[in-house]
Amino acid sequence: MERRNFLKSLALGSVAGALPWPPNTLFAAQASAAATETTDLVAVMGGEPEAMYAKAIAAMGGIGRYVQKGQRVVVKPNIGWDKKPELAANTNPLLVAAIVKDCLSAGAAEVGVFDHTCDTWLKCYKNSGIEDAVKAAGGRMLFAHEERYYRDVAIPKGKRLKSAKVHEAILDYDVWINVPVLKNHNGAKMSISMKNTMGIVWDRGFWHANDLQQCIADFATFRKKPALNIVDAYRVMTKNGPQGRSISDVQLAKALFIAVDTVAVDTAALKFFAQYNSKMTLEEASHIKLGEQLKAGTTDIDRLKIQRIKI
Amino acid sequence: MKGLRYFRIVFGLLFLVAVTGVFVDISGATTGLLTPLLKWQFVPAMLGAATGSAGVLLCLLGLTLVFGRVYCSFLCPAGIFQDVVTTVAKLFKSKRSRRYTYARPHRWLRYGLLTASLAALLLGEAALLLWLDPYSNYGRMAENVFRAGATGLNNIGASAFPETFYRISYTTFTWGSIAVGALFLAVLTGLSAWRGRLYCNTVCPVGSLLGLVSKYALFRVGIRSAACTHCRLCERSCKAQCVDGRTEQLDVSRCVQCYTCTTVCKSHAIGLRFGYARKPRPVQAGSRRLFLASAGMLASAAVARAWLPHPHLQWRTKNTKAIAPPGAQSIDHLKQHCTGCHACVAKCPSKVVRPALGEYGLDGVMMPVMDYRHAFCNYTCTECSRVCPSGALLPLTEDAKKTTQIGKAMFKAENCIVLIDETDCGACDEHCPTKAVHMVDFRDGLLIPEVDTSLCIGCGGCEYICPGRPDKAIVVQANPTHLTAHLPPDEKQEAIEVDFGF
Repeated sequence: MERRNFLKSLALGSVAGALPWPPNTLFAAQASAAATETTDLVAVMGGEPEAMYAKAIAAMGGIGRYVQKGQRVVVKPNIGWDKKPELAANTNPLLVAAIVKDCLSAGAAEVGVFDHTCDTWLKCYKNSGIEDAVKAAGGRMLFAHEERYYRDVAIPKGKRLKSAKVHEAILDYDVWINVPVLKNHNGAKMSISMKNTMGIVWDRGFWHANDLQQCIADFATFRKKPALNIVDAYRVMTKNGPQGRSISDVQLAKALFIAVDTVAVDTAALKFFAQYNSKMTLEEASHIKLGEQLKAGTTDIDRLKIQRIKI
Repeated sequence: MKGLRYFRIVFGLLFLVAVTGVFVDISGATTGLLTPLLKWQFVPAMLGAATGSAGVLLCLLGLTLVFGRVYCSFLCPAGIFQDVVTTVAKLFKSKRSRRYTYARPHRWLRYGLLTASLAALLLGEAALLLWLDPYSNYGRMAENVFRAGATGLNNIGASAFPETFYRISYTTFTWGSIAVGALFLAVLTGLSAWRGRLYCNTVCPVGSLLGLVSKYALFRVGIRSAACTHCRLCERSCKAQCVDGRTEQLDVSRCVQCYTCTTVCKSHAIGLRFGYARKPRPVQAGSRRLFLASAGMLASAAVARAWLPHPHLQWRTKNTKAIAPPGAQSIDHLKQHCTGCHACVAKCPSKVVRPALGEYGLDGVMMPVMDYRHAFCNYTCTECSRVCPSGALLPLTEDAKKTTQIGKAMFKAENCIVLIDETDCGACDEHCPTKAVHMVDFRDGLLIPEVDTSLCIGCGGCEYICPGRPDKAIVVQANPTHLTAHLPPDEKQEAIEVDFGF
């Protein structure tokens, strides 16, 4: 709760005009959202990706709360693998397209989409269906395959990860929206919102070599947080993640989770996932707990205002 | 005859641009359209005769039997490139030095190199042909030098228009190979600027072989004595230096069918004529003997190849890191069929296929090898095997590719982060498409990789991504002969009904 109080105080301060407010529209947007927010987390089940997104964002107060007119927005799905949408290794392209459209309808000047892929990037963009979906929705795919597109940032609150090379669009655009796909991960145990942010970073090898779980948690303290985390759980890869081997690794779950708090939404999504694999706990996917310890969010979701919607 | 010459120039230039496009098109947009043209190259057609190119080879030989060495002026990219150089060089030459004069043939050099390269082929080594074949040399030149240039231009474009053009890393190039390509570019440019088609009539084994065949061509360029005024304009215009104006002789085996002489002759004495009825005039005594020797060598090479598909060569190095690309069958097969044209290198989307320097030993320099330092092989990609014109890499279907085992991953626990630091990693498992590399319980909830080599295809994903330094904890060991991996088991799961869960 500390962060919210902090943001509230900043918002109040700005209203009173007691402080010279830097023109950082991102924080302004988050602050105003936090001040009037009634729902912390929305979970939707039983619909198609676009329909679930529409319900979820409405319950969160509409996209206009997070994206202001004229802003440049980055949507960051998981496009890590050269896999078809049915294999659930990447975020559902229908969901990505719906978010892009929604941002544009809220008056966004531009919506860029990228991921630092694991497989050959052109093949990932194409075969995930995301490139075509984004272009049709009016968004733009950004290049992210070369070190030149990344810039060094400090992670002052990180324990092991003190700096990282972050994609320029995340740093230069006004707002970014994190859109992971919920899946099993044999390295980090789970891949949800926190793990998905690894795709805005260039030098990931360092994370693997220096306590992966701690580095993921450390990066959750990065100053420019996503305006929203939208977890795609339409199809869920329950084993052999993060790449998966075949359609047999995938369950049709038809769910979606949305929250501003990255740690909270990952906690909720993990509890949902545990229904497929009871061994999966917060202790297992330890980066989530470690994130809470660094005050990146809360795992105590029972104390949050949650809306559960079934279609 | 002017029409014929213009047709040759236009056709040749178009063909040159198309073949160059295969190597220089960094976007990959023209791959399906242009790469089939490579199958029309003579040496690839000859090497791939047993694997689908026999028809093309017969067509090329047939074409030569009818029209002589038209291949050299219409289809050989190195030949057409030399014509371009010659034309440009003329602009910088004095009127006097522009003139060519008849040159004596270098028969022993020509037929010696031809015989030696065919003999090497007989012993299961395409290595000598690799350094002499004009197409393969041109390919290396285009892939390493021209593509590097195109990449540089692209990156300038990417700086100017960062939203339209994407940057391409120079780590996709091998410097040793750029040096080889640049050296050939320098040699070919120098030779052709100096003396026209000198390369084609001294070193080129294709020129020598087709020259022998063209002696029996139906149509060939010849001089009509009755009309000839001995002005020697034809001789002065002949970049192949095969026309002797004084004696009215034309060495058909060196004539590349450029038809320039036919357009300069003022008395219409020289031209393309039906020559079947006339006895072929051996300009040089003894060339028939050489022809028979070469033909015999070629035939015995073909027979030997059919009877001894895998000659066992003891002198070959056994390097476990030299992994041949999928479709190569074995390192032996690669060394028998590959002339290092680098079409596979140019078209590999992940740039994991690289030109070998010392990896395969001396007889494999410039042949393609898998390099897992900067990339790994895409699970469903079959590009290299499909663009290979010579059958060195035989075409794979996507399903066949998924079980083609080019090597096996070997786990070295002593270098593994999980063991050393007792922290999670799993990068190797993450990149394994078949789950040959998978995580098993280690201690205190930690997982450590384990390899099931029966599922491994040697794609190198694990080796590429392993963060272990200075030594990787997982490396792929070559299969000198490629094997077939098991198809990953399909572990079906029941659909589970779920609620929110919190």
